[in-house]
Amino acid sequence: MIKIAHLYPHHLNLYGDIGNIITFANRLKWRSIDFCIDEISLGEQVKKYKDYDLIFIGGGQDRQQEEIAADIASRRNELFDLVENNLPVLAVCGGYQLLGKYYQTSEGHEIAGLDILGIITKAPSQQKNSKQDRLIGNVSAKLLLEMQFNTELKTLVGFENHSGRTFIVDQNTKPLAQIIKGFGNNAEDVFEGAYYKNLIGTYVHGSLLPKNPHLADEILYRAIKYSGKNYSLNALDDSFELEAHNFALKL
Amino acid sequence: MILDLIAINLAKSSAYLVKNLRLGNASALPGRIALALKPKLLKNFTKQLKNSKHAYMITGTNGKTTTTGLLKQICIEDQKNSNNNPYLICNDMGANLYYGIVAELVHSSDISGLLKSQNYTLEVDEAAFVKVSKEIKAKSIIVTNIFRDQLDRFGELDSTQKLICTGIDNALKDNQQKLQLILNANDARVSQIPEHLTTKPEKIFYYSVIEKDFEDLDGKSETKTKGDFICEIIESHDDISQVKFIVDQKEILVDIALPGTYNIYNATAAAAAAYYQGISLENIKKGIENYHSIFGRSETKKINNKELKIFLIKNPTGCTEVIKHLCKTTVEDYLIIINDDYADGKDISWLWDARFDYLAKSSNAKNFLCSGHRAYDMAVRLKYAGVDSSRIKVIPDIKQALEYIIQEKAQTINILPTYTALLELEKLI
Repeated sequence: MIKIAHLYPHHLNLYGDIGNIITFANRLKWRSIDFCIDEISLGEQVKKYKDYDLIFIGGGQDRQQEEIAADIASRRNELFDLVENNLPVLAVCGGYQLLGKYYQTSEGHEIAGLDILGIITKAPSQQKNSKQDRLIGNVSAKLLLEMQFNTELKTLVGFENHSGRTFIVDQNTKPLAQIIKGFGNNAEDVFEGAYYKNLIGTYVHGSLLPKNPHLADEILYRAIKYSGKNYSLNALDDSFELEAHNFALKL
Repeated sequence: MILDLIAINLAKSSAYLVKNLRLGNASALPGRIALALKPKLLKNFTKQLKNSKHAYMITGTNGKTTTTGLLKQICIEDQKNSNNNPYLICNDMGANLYYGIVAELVHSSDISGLLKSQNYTLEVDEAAFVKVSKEIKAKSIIVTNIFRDQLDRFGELDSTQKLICTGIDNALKDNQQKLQLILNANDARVSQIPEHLTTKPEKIFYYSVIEKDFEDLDGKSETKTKGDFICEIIESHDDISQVKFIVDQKEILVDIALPGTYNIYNATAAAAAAYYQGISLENIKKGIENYHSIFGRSETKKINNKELKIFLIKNPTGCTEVIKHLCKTTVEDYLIIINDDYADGKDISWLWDARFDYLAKSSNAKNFLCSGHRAYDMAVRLKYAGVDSSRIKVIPDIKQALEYIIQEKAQTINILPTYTALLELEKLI
């Protein structure tokens, strides 16, 4: 059995985040691999991260992120130790920012992050026209992640919508992908997302995994390896997924 | 003045050209032309709208077009009885952005720029509302609901609430005594609006619907049965519901010939707004019962003896409500058309928040044809919702998809287009 934890699904659920969970579930089901998906919500500290083979965390609005901030901060070391121990984690958008060292507001205040991923995020300095300050649009990028499972497809596609500018500040944290089209982490360097060991963070939604089936399988492959179980990921008919992927590359 | 004439006439002829070249419904282009030539044109119109009897503005995420159409029909019934000019300015084809509204005014004016009526019901996009409410001073503003809708355009959800609050603040300027706010008590984000306003409005009325299974994806809305204008659902069927409106110790039974609980909300919003502007419950009933839905919101068209039932989808909450309704029907064939133009929202991730899994589990829905610019994304969505790939077909070109489904498929077809897909469809049917 592969055990997946979905953190704060009622708070962090923007931009079709649930599509990523649906993708994990289906791609395991189609291969007849036993799995379970547990929601870990606010205050459910009895559910230990160590009991899972894969953790997903999505994004929320500011208000909802504030509501879960203290709860996840209280479990920081629990998560940190497991990430050091190669637990696969996928974090999208707000969840990605949260795992970093800090978030700097437009007034210059630093809000501490979980400090698990070597990134920092800054709010755009001029807030006058916050709508235009958001980085919004279709994204396509070249994957820089070293793929262990499917090495054929080397691109990543989706949609981004964020105002924070994220920068990688630690040499052990690597960029997930290199932007072909779109803004990526900060609209300044050419990178999108970041990874450290088996922790992957990204701004790309759309949802991310349904039309990036190679990345979905890569994460599942790592989760299986981490679990120590003997499952294999046989090939699936991904024709719809690949059509959607290739179409998005042309957007 | 001369420039006004030129602006209006050029705009009018552009609308004529757009319509006659079958470029779709004239929508926003005439508004752009008119304003480009004469930026103050809207001011000239708004001067004429100062003493309107009926002056409604409808905003919110879902249900704007239907609520607007229902209000229009109610006002028409009311005008009929009083022998007044029955013409009402109304953008009930859904062109609800700034330019679309100007275009509607151009359309409703004669060649000298004189409006055919002072009465209007206008639906206004949440983002455009900030600007429009500064210029056009409505007597009644209706906020239907605030759900997740096109987040790429508005940023994030709470910013939609902020936009609407700013719009209402603008509307309240010099208009505090006159303006009525009609708010949905069932939607927490709407009912909390007064707390966020800088000017306190004097007249706020809440409407609410008493029901059981309305799903708010965000899980945030608390159900409040409190309100000034209450709608009690008596009976609800596939395409028709009977409800009872209760207000000020009066009540009236009304048949709503529209599918889905969401349309009961729309009818209640329209009824409440009309009631507080002094329209009798009897005329409100007549208006709602004589309303014929605008193309696409939920309408049946016939081609070659095939019945095409069309349901606009544009955001997860509305789409899920449509899906829940469709699960109760016996229709086997579906055409789902997903575009990603600006008016649809460039971000299609909302497809993943809509509950297509209900449709996948329905024992009646069998074949799915996906079309539009993002046809393959829709195919992937259905596959992951649990529809076997063999039941999913993709024809991105909308015309070809329509031809295929009319030729090959059963008597009745459910069509679910996004907004611009609906406009394209309209040219073909």
